[in-house]
Amino acid sequence: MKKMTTITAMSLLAVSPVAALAQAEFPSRQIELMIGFSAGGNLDILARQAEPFLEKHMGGADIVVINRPGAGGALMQTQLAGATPDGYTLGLLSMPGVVTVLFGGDVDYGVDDFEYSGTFTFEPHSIMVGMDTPYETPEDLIAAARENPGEVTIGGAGIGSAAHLAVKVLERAADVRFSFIPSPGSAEMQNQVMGGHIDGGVTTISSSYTRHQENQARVIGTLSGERTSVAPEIATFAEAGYEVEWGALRGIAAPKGTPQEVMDKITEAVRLTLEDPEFQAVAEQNNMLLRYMDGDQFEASVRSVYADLEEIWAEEPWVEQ
Amino acid sequence: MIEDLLSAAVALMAVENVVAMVLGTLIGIVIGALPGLTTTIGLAILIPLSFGLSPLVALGLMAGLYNGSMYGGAIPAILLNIPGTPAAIATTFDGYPMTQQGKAATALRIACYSSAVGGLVSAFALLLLAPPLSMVTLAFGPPEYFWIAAFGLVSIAVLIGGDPIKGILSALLGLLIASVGMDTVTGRIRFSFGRLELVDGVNIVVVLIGLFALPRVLQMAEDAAMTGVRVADLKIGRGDSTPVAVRPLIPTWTRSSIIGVLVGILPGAGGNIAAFLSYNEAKRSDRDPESFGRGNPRGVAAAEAGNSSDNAASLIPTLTLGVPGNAIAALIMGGLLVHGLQPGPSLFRDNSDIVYGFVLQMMITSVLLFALGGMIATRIFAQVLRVPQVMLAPMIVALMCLGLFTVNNSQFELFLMIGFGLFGYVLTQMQFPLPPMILGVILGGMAEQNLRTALLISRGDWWHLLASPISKGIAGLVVLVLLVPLLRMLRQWRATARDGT
Repeated sequence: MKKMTTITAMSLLAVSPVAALAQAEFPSRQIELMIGFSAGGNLDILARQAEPFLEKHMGGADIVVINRPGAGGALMQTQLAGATPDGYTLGLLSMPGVVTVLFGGDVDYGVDDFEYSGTFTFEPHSIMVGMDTPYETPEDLIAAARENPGEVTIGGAGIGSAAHLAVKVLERAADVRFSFIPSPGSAEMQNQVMGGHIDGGVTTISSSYTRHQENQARVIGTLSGERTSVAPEIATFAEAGYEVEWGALRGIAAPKGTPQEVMDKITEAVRLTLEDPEFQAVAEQNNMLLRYMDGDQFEASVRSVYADLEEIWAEEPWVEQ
Repeated sequence: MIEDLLSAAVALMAVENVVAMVLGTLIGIVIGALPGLTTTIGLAILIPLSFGLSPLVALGLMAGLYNGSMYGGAIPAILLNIPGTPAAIATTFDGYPMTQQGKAATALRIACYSSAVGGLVSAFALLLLAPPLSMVTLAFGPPEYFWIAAFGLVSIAVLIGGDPIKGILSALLGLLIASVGMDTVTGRIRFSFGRLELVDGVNIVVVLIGLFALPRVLQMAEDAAMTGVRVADLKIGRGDSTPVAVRPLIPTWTRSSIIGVLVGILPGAGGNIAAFLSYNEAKRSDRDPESFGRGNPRGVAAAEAGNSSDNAASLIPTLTLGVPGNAIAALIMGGLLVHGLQPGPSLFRDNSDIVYGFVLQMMITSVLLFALGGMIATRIFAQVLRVPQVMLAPMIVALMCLGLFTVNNSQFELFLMIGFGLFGYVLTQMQFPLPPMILGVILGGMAEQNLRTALLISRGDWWHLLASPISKGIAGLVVLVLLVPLLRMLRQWRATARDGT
């Protein structure tokens, strides 16, 4: 009994000053930055390019990037939600994937389980069509879908993926119906578009724009309000009157309960990284579209996309239950 | 294409790439020479371990291992009448009699040259056929891909091994494994048992390592061969200093290489079948068929050129369509996937530097055999036969687990791999062939996905599957392959009927 009290007392003594010390001195040990996708993907490249800059702007911190692929990122996000909220376990989130996996699956984390830090990039999705199709502008495509509802075939990575929900969002904004053709990934979809097997497809602008430049496919518009810096001549669906903003927003998050001081330090490091001319050069080389949001803006964006999806799900759930 | 080749060639001159090719070939020869270790197990261990390396270094190791092991298998086949790999069985027919006649050194040299020539021809076939094919494949839509996957599945199930029923069952098990995970067409999750690790389906690399490495290791432990080969049994002899007469072997090489390349392109067959076919063809067309099996150098040349000329050619459908024709090609595909390289038409477009580099590596490592498989080296390689096999088993298990864990940092995958290994061991004990299963995993998902996508596009019209001439052609081939076992049965039945009367 006596032994027990001593241990309790000792741990009480130990916890409070150490915790305070940890915050004051954060980071005092290695930080794990988890990624929910395999090495070599877009998110992995971003993490590995940003890592040395984050270290530099966090006062020489030691950050290690760890791939925890599985379930479209949900495996990593679940681990992140359950990790100790001390700032030493972080995750690089990719919207809208963080919230799309919450529908129709076995995933048990929520948007409330994270503290949000800064974002690095926002890359809008875009619609590409085959060279033999008659569609040149967003208006052409929407008009065709209006004339023949459910006959224009648009491909993209699987049901419930960001690409699929992009089509849903566009359908609702323009009040039309496409025939969505799911494929295992963006590369397979692009092959089908180029081979003329489907009319068009949805993917992020940097990958569709490469095909556009090679004259293998035509990008008719991005699903965003503003034109992008990588492809300034590509029109937006917003210009044609269809208000959609859909793309990959990538930023850092930590488990709920991570101290505010720690979050501020991380967010500040993200901000300084994006302002670093060296990082900007790296980003340009890798066709990254930089977009900084602070934690509050990031969280607001996540919540707004989640709310939109909840609305769509309530009306037309995309996975049969 | 020429530009891509040149830039790839320049990249290959970097020190680490040269080291990778030399090292890969050496490891390959040793693995091939050890009767317990085969090309498949070597690749299964190497792939996860190579994860941290740059793609070209990793692929250089794989190319070297592939080509090296095809020659390595000939060393014990010739010296001890023990084929080092299944592909070297035909090499024993004339190789061992040559050793008995004291011509072991000549036999080894012929085997080495033949392997190098076969590998080189095969790599040229890959270089000439794959890039144009990859451009044509854009014309392949979901219906065509469905038929290709179906063709791969039926030919593997029917043509591998002697028992088509067991082959088909094994392929069906593969289809079952392929159905785990998210169904991309409906978004539903199948057979994940609530585990997030299974939502994306079973990682193909885990299945490959589990099925190809672990059962073999367990068998080694079971055999418990405590001693290796005694020095006294390893007589290579001085070897005559006269160079091998190359000219009489050229027709054999030509014939065997063509057979090997064709066998390689077709799914279902591997190096062993290529070796048998070219050996039989060499024997049939020879002026003196009786001399085969009694130490005819042309027999060794035919077998070795045959099994090596299958190598790069078997990668043609793998690289261009993402359809591996045999277990080794499936492993190479796994190796590409680990590095984020998706085989198929986009590979030649988006990663041309790497894919052309790999083609060149297949070529260069074949040529390396001339240098590395020389007499002195072969004498040294033969010494690995003295290592007791039982010592290798724990080392292999450790390497496998270490390698796999580095890929995805997942403990779950380690247990899954061990599970597949034990399952594979039970199946091998029951004489089920494992390659149909792994190809079922790869091709099953492809067949399902493309069938359903085709029907989505055609809005339920099944005739869409046979709309294009390509679809009709491949569907015809599927029917033909399915008829093979029937024809075999019919012939057997006739034979027994004839014997009965």
